[in-house]
Amino acid sequence: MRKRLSMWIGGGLLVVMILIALLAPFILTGDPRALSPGSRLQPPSALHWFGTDQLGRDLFLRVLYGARISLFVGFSVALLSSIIGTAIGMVSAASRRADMVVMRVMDGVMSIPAILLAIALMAVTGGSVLNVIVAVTLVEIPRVARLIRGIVLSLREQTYVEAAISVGTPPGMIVIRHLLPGIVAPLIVQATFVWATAMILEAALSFIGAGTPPTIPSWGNILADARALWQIRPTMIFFPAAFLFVTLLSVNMLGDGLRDLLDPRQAPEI
Amino acid sequence: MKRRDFLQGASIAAGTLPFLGGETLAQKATAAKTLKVIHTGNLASLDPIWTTAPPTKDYAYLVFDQLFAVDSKYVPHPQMAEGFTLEDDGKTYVITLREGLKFHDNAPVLPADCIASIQRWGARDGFGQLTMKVVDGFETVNDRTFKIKLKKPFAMLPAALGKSNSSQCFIMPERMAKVDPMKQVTETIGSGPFRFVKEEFVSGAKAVWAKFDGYIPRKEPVDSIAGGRIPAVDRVEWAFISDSSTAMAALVAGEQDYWDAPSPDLVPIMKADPNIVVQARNLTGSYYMLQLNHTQAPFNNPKVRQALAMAVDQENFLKSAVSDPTLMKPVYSYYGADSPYYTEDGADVLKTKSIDKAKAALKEAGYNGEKAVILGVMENPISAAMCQVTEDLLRRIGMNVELVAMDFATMAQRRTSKEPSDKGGWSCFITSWTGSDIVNPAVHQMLRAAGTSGWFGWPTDPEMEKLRDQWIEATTEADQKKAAIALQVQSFKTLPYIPLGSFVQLVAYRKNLTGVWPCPVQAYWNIGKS
Amino acid sequence: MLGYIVRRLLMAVPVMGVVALVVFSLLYLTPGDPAQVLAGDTATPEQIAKIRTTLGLDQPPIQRFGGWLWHIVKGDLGTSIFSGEAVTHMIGQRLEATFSLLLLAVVFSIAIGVPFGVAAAARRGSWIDGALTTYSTLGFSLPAFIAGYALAFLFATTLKWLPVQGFVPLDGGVWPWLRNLILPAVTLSLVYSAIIGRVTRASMLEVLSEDYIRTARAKGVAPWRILFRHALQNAAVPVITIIGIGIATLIGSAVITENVFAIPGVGRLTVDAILHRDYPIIQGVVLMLSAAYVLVNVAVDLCYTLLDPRIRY
Repeated sequence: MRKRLSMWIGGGLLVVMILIALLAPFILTGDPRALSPGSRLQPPSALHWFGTDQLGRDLFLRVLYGARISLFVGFSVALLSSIIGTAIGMVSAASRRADMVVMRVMDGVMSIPAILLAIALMAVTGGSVLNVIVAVTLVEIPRVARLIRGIVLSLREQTYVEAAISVGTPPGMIVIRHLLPGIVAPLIVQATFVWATAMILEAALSFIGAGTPPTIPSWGNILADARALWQIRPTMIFFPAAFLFVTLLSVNMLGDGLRDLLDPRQAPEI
Repeated sequence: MKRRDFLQGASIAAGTLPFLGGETLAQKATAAKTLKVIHTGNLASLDPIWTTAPPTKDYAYLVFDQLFAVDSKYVPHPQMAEGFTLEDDGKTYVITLREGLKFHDNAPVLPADCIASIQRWGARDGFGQLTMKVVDGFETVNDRTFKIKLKKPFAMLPAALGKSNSSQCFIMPERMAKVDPMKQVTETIGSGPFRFVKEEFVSGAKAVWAKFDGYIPRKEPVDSIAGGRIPAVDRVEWAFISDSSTAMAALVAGEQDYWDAPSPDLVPIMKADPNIVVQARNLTGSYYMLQLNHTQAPFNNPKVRQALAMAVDQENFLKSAVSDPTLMKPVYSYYGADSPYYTEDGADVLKTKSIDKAKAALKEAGYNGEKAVILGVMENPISAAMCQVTEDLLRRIGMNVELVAMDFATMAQRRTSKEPSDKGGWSCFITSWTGSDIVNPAVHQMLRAAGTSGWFGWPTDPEMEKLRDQWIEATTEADQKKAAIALQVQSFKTLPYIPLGSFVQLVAYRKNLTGVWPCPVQAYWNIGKS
Repeated sequence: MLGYIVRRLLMAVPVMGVVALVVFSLLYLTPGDPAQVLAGDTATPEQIAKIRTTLGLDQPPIQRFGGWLWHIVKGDLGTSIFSGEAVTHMIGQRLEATFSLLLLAVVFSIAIGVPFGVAAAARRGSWIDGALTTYSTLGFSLPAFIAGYALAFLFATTLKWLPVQGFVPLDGGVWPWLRNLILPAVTLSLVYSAIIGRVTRASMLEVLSEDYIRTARAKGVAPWRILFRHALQNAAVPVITIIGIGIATLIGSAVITENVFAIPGVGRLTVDAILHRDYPIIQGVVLMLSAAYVLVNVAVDLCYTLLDPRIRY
C-alpha cells in the first residue's frame, strides 16, 4: 500500500516536471540565455524568483528551461536504449551463434564504468545535447539487452511458447503474441531506472565540462557555474540541485512502485 | 544493540569528533617551513622563454635568476651582476658577475651561460628582439666578466635584461640556453633561490620547490623584483585547485597559506575573516584584452575588426565578472592608466558601444558567415565570464560563433595554431596582462604588428612598426610621447586587440605569512611563515 | 582451486579484449582524422605523420588493432598530448589516491549497507525496513557532486571537523591519510551502501524463509546467532556479487568526487584530460579502470568458493 502511494507521488511529481518542461516557453517570458552584467549574482527577489547567476541571467528561467534538457535527455535515452536493447536482446536469445558474440560485446561494454565510457565518447565527439544522448544511450544499451535476453530465454522454456513453436506459428507471431507481453512490464520498470541514470549522467558530464556546451541552461551546467559561488549565493546551487533531486526522486519512486506492481521479483540491472 | 547503548555510542563519537580537526605538534613544526600556495593555473611548460603563460613565469622566478632587475619605478639594478661599466662611448657594456654564483647542479655561472641565455631570450621576446637589433656581439673577458658590444649606444639595455614582465631574460646553463628557442627546454636547472623538485611534480596537481642552499642573495632590501631574493622557507608547494570555492575553503581552513588569484566574488567572505589578508600585490592592475587572430577569417578583415570594436562596451565586460565597482575601471587606451602615455586619442571606435552600428558595419564589411571560434578559458571566473559575454556579443551582431571551453594551458597551446578556425585554429581569446606589461612600447608585446613572428594574433601593419621605431629612436621625452600617442591612434585603426578595461588584482594569504611585498609578478622569495 | 583461478582469469581475457576493442574503435567514431585526435589540436604535420605511422593507419583495421594491442600489452599506453609524459607514468602517479578512496568507500559501504540490510530483513515491515527503503531511494536520487558539496559544507566549512580538500599519501601517516579521505569516501558510499543494503535485505529475506532457519529457531538458537551465523553466511553470495558489480558505479562516482574534493587521483586526471582534449590519457584511464573492475570481479568469483561451501569447482 505504501509502495502504491509512493508510486502515485513519484508519478505525480514527474508529470508536474514534464508539464513545466513542455510549457516553459509558453508560460515564461524572457530568454534564459540573456546576459545582464549589471545585475549579476542577485538574491531571489520578486523580479528574479531564484536570483541571478554570475552573468546576470535569470536563474528561475534557467532552472525551468534546464528541466527541458534533463528530461529530454532522460526520456530519449530511455526510449532509444529500450528499443535498441530489446532488439539486441531478442536477436541474442534467438540465435546461439549471435548470442556468443553479442553477449561478449555487452559484457565488455559493461566492464567499462558508465561515466568513463560516456566521458570517452564525449571526448571524441565534442559537447552537444545530441552527443550526450548518443553517448549515454550507448552506455545503457547493454543493460537493457541483458535483461531482455534473460527474460526471453526463460519465456521460451514455458510450455505454451514451446507448444506454439512446435505447431509452426511464424516467428513474428510468437514474438508479438507471446514474448512481447512478457517483456513489457520488466522493460518499463528498467526504462524508468535508465531514465534516472541518464539524467544523473547528463548532469555529471555537464558538471565536469564534458556535456552540453556551457551556454546551454542544463542543470549540470548551472551547478558547474554555481560550484565556484555557493559560499556567497547558496541559492544558486540549491535550486538546480533541488530540481534535479526531486526529479530523480520522482522517477525512482515511480520505478520502485512499478516494479512492485508489475514485476515484484525483478531487481534492476545495475 | 539497545537504543540507550546506541545513544551513548553516538555521544562518545560526537565528543571525539572535534578533536579530528587538531594537528599534532610534529606536523605543525614541519608545516611551518613549507609555503603552501594555491595556484590557479596549471604549470604546463617549464620554459619561460618559450611561453609567456603566468604559471611558467612564476615557476621561473623561483628557479632562475636575472642579470639585472627593475625596481617599482622600472629603474634597473644589478641582480646577478655585481655592476657594469660603459666603454667605447657607451657602445660596450662590461658586466661583472657577483662572486659565488652557481647553478643547482653546483656548476658555477659563467659568462658563456649568460651570453647564450641573452641570445635565446633575444630570439623570442619583443624587447629582446629590439635589443638584439642593436647588439653587435659578445665577448668573454674572464670567468666573471663579459662584454656586450653594441652598434650604437643603447641606454635601455639594463632595463631590457632586467624587465619584470612578460618574458624575462632568465639565466640558464649554456646547454639549456642552446636549445632551439621555438622548442621547450626540459631541464629545470637554474641559479635562483629555489630548486625545482621534479620527482614530486604531478602535472595538474602539485609542484614543489626546495630552498637552494648555494644561493647568495643580494644585501639590498627588496623592491619589486630588485633587491635581495631571500629564500625564507624550506619548501614552496603549489597545489593546483581550479575550483575557487574549494580553494577559498582550503585557505580559510589553514590548509593552504596563499592564493595567487582569489575570485573577486569571494573576496568579501575572506575580508571578513580575521586570519586572512586580502590586498593588491600588483599595484599596476590587470588589463583584460580580446586578442584577435589577424591571419584567418573573419578577423583578418580590418572592417570586421572595426565592427566588433563598435559593439564592445567595456562596462559590460567588467561588470559581468566583478560586482564591486571599486575594483574595476574602463580604460580606452592601449597603455595602462598609470602609464605616462595614457590618452584616449583615437579611441572613438571603442566608445561607439552600439550593437546596431556594429551590425551595419559588419554588413558593410562583407562578412559572410565565417565561423568565429572563441578559445574560452573557463577555470578563471573573470575570463570565463568575459568569454561568454564575447560569445553573446558576437551572436548579437550577427556572427556565426562557437565558444570552445578549455583550460588556460590548452588555450596556450592552441593559440599557436595558424590554421583556419574550423581546422583547429581560432579567432579570438581573452587574455590579461598587468599594467607594467603595457606601460610603454618597449615592453608592450601586443602593441606590435610585425606579422607572423609576433605574439599570437600576428597583426601586420608596417605603420605601427614604424611608429614604434620612432619612439625608440626619439631622444626627447616630448618626441617619445608624440610617437607613442601616434602609435596608439594607428593601433585603434589596425586593432591588434580590443582593450576591455582593467581590474585591481588581489591576492589572499593567511596572516601568519611575513614579508609579502608589492610586486608586479607572483614571486615567492622573502615570504616566510611565523 | 588453482586450476579454477587460472580458468577464471582466462575467461576475463575476452572481456578485456572487447574493452580494448571498444576503446580502440571510439577513436574511429570521430568525424576527423584519428591521428589528429591523438596528436591534439596544436600538433605539427610531422607529429601527426609520426602518429599515423605508429597507428599504422594505412594498414587494414585488424592489423592496426593488433599493433595497438601489442603496444598496450607491452605496457605502452602512449604519450599525453598535453604534458608529453608517458600515460602510464601519469596514471601511476595518481593511483594511490584513487585506490585509497575506493578502498575506504568499499569499507564504509559494507559497514553501513550490510548491517542495515540485515536489520531491515530481520524486522520486515518495521520502521527500520522503511528507513532502508527511504535511505536507498534518497541515495539513488542524490548525485555524488551534490552530496559532496553538502557534506563539505557541513563537516568541513561549518563544523571544521575535517579538511575541505586534498590528499596525504599513506607514508605521511595513517591519520592524515584517513582524515582527508573520510568525506569523499562517505560521499561515494551513499549510493553504494544503498545498493548493498537493498540486496542484503532481499537476499536475507529469501534465506530466512528457508526450512533450516525455521528449524534452528525451533531449536531455540539465539536470534542474533541465526541472523549472523546461519542466514548471513548463506545470503552472502548475492551480496558479494553486488559489491563486485557495484564497483563500476563507485569508480564512476570517484571520477566526479575527486574533483569536488581536489584529490589528485585518476579521476581528476580524466577531467583535466577532457579540457585538454588529451585523448591518450582518457584511453589509458578507461582501459586501466576497466581492467581493475574486471579483476575485482574475478576476485569476487573466487570469494564464493571460500564463502559458500556448496559451491565447488
